[in-house]
Amino acid sequence: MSAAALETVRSGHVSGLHAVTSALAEMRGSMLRAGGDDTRGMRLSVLTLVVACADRASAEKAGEVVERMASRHPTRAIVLVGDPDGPARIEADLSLSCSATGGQQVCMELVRLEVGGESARHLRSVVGPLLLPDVPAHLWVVGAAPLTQALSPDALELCERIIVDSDAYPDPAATLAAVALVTAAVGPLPAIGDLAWRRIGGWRELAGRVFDTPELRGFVQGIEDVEVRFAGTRPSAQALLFGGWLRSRLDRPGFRLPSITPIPDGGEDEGGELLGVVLNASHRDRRARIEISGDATRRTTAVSVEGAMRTTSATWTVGVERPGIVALVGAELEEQGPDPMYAAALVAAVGEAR
Amino acid sequence: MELGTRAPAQAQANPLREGLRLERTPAPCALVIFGASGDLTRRKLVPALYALSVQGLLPAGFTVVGAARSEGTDEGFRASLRQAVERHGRLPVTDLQWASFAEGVRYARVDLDDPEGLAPLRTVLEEVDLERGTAGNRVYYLSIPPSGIANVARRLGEAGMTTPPAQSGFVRLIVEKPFGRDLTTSRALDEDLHRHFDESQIYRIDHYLGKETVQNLHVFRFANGIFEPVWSRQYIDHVQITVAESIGVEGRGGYYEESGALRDIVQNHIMQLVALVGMEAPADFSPETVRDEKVKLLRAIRPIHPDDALDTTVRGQYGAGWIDGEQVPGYREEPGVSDASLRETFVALKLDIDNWRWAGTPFYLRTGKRLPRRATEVAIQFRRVPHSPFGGQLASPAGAPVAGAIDPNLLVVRIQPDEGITLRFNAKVPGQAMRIRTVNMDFLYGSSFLTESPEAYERLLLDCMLGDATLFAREDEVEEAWRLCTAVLDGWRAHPPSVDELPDYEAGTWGPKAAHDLLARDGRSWRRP
Repeated sequence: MSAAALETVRSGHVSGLHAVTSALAEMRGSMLRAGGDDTRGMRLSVLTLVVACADRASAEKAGEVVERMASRHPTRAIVLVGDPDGPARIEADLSLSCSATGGQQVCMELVRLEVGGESARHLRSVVGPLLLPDVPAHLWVVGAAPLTQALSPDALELCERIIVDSDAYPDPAATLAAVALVTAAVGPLPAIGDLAWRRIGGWRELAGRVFDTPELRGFVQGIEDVEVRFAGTRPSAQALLFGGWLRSRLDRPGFRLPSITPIPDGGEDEGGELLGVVLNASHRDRRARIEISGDATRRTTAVSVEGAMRTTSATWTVGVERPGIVALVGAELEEQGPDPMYAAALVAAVGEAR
Repeated sequence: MELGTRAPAQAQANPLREGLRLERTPAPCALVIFGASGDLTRRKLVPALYALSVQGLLPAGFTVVGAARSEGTDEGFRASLRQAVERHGRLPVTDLQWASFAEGVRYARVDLDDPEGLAPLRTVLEEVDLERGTAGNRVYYLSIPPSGIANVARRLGEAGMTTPPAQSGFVRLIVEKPFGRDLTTSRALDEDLHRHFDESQIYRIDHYLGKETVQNLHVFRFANGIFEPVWSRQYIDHVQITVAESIGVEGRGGYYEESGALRDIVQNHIMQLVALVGMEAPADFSPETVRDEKVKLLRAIRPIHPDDALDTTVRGQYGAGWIDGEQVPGYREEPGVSDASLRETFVALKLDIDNWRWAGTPFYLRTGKRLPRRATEVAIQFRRVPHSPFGGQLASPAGAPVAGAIDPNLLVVRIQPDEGITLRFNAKVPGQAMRIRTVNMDFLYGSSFLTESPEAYERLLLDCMLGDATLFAREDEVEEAWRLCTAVLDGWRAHPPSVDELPDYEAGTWGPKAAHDLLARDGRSWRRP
C-alpha cells in the first residue's frame, strides 16, 4: 500500500506534563467530534511508540521515520530527549496528522518531548501518563543510547517491546551479551527486538530456501561447517547473529562453530552487512558446497554437489531490496511477543563471541 | 501468530525454515499456463506470480511457461507479461525485480489439434529442468474454456506428462470453474480428469476461497471463544448470504446464456460460503479435515425435489433500468443474448440444513446481476430478545418486523467490498426518554490491518505449489453442490417461465418481487446490503 501523505490537522506547543496530557485529550476529542457521525473509518492508534533519542538531532530524524510509518502503523509516538543535567523543564510540540489510506482516515499523534533536570532521571513518571490504554507500548531506542538506560527496569516495566539496534554500538559482541543477559532475566515480556536481526531476515530466508529443494533437503542435517562473511574489520552484530542462528538451528555432533570472516574491502557496505555465507554439507556419499553471496540489491546462490553418482551445479540469482529504517522499525511494530529464533541465536552468538 | 502453517510438514524438516514467514517454500517447479494469451493470465495469474516473486515466496528456479496456440517467443511473452503486471499488478515493477522474475519466463506454442502439438512444450520443460533445476515438478494451470479441459488433460496424460517425477516430486493440475454444467457432466469431467490425474493432483480453484475475508470466516468462528456458543439454531434466527453484482454480463452474453446465475455463482461461490458458515469446527486445519467438515455440512442440506423447486427458489432476469445514474440495457438486449432468453440472472433460494446445529434455522441465498450495488455478505440474524423490559413491541408471533420493535442483533461479514465485520446492537438514544436505536460496531479490515491483503490468486497459487489443497474444492464438495443445484435446474426445466414473464426485475433493484415474497412467507425480509 503506498503511503498516503500526512496532513497536519492540529499542532501546538505546551509546557509541563499536565498541559501535554490535556492537549492530547483535547486533540483527540476534537478529532472525533470533527468526524461527526462518519467516524467509522477513522483510526487513531494501534500502539504507543516511545522513541528514546540521545539528542535533538537524532530526535529530528526519528520523528521523520515515525511520520513515514504513520500511514501503515497509526501510533501515538512520543519522541523523547532527556537531559538530566540541563535545567528542569518539560516542553512538548504536539501534532495530529491524518491521511486517507485506502479510503480510511488514519491518524497519528506525535509528541516531541524534551525533558530536562531531575524529571529526566524519572522518565517512567513522565511517559507513563502519556501511554494509550489497552494497546501495546513499544520503546525504540535510537542509536547507541547506553544499554543500562535502554534496558533499565523502568523501560522494562513500561513497555511490551523494546527495539534496539545492536549494530549501532561500537562493540556489537558486548552489546549482544548485554541484551542476552536482559532477555534471559526478563522472561517472555517485554520482548526485545533487534534491528540487526531484522537486517539478516533476507539472508535467513535464502539459506532456508536452499534446503527446500529436493536434491538438497537431505543435506540440511549434514551441514558440517559454515563461513559467514561480512563487510568490516570486527564482527558485526549481523554476522554474529547469523552465525549464532545457524549454530542454534544446526547444533549437533559434527557441526563445527561457524567462522566469521571480515572482508575489509567491503566497500560501501563497511557497516557490518553480510556479504556471503558458505555452507559445506554431506549427505550419504555426496558432498555439497552452497555459497550465497550478494550485496544490497542482488544475491546469488551457487550450489555445487559432488558425489559418487554424479556431480551437479546450479546458480540462482534473486533481486533484493534492502529494507530501510522505516521498513525495519515498521516490521518490529507488527511483532507481538518474543521471537524464540532470535533468543536462541542470541545465546549462541554470545557463546561464539566469547 | 502464524496459524495453519500450511499443510503437513514434509518428511524431512528443514530447521532453517523454522520461524520464517513460511515454514517451507515450494520445491522448484514449472507452472505451465494453458491459455497464456488470455485475460485471466494477464489480469490475475501473472501479477500474482510477480507479487509472490517480489515477496521472496517463490522457490529458486521457479519458471512460468506460457502455452498457447499462437506463435511467440520468450522475449515477446516476457514483454507482454511485464505490460500486464505494470497495468494490473498490486506491486510496482522495478527493473531489478522484474529481471529476476523474467529469467524464469518461457513460451511454448502448443497445438492441441496436432498429435505432436505438445512437443514444443515438452522440449521447453526439459530445458527448464536442466537450466533451472525444476526437476520435473509441474503445475498445469488450465486457463481455457471448459470445453477444452478434458482434452488438455487427456493430451497431457497420453504424452506421459502427468506422472510425478519421483516420490517427492509433483505434477498438479489447476482447473477453473465451472466444473461441469450439472451433476452428470461434473461427474463425467471428473472421470475424464481421473483417467490421467489422481484426485490428489487436481486443484479446483474458486478464487473466493483465497480471499482474506473468506479465510477469516474460519478464524472468526474458530479462534474466538465468544461467537461459537451462539452459532446455532438456539440463538440464530436465520442466515442470509448475498452475492450481488451491479454489472451486467459485460460482453459475455454467449457464456451467460449457457450458464446463468445458479451455475455461475450459487453452485460454487455461494455453496462454499454456506459450508464455511455452517460447518462444524475442524479438529485441525489440514486440507482433508477441513474439507471433510465442509462436505458433511453440504450433505446435511435438505435436498430440493425438482417438483418443489418453484416453492423454495426464485429465478429472475433483469430488464433495462438505471444504475449509478446511468441507463443500462436489459439482459435480452445484451450482445450474444437471445431476445426471448429465459436464462436467469438472479437466483434466490431457501435452504434447510438438517442437523442439530441448524435444524429450523434457514439459510436464504441470493445472487444477481444488475443489482443496485456490488456486495458479497454473510448476515447472521440473531433471534429477538424474548422480553423487552423497556416496553414497546417485540415482534409479531411469526417474527415479522413490527414498527417500533426492538431490532434483533445482526452480525454481518462483508466479503467485498469494504471487507470487515459489523455487529448491530441496540443502544439508548441520549436524552430523558428511554428511546432505543440500533448502532453498528464496525471492524474494517482496511483500517485494522493497514498492510495490503494479498490477491486471492497469490495465496491459491502458492498453496497449490506447496501441495496444500485446503482452499481448493474437492471432488465430493463439487458433487454435493451440484446435487442440490441440478435438482433445482431440473425443476426449473420442467416448469419454464413464459417468455412474457421475463424480465421480472428492473436493473438497479434488488431482484424480482418473488424474492421478497420468499422471505415474507416466513415472516422475514431481505436486508439491504
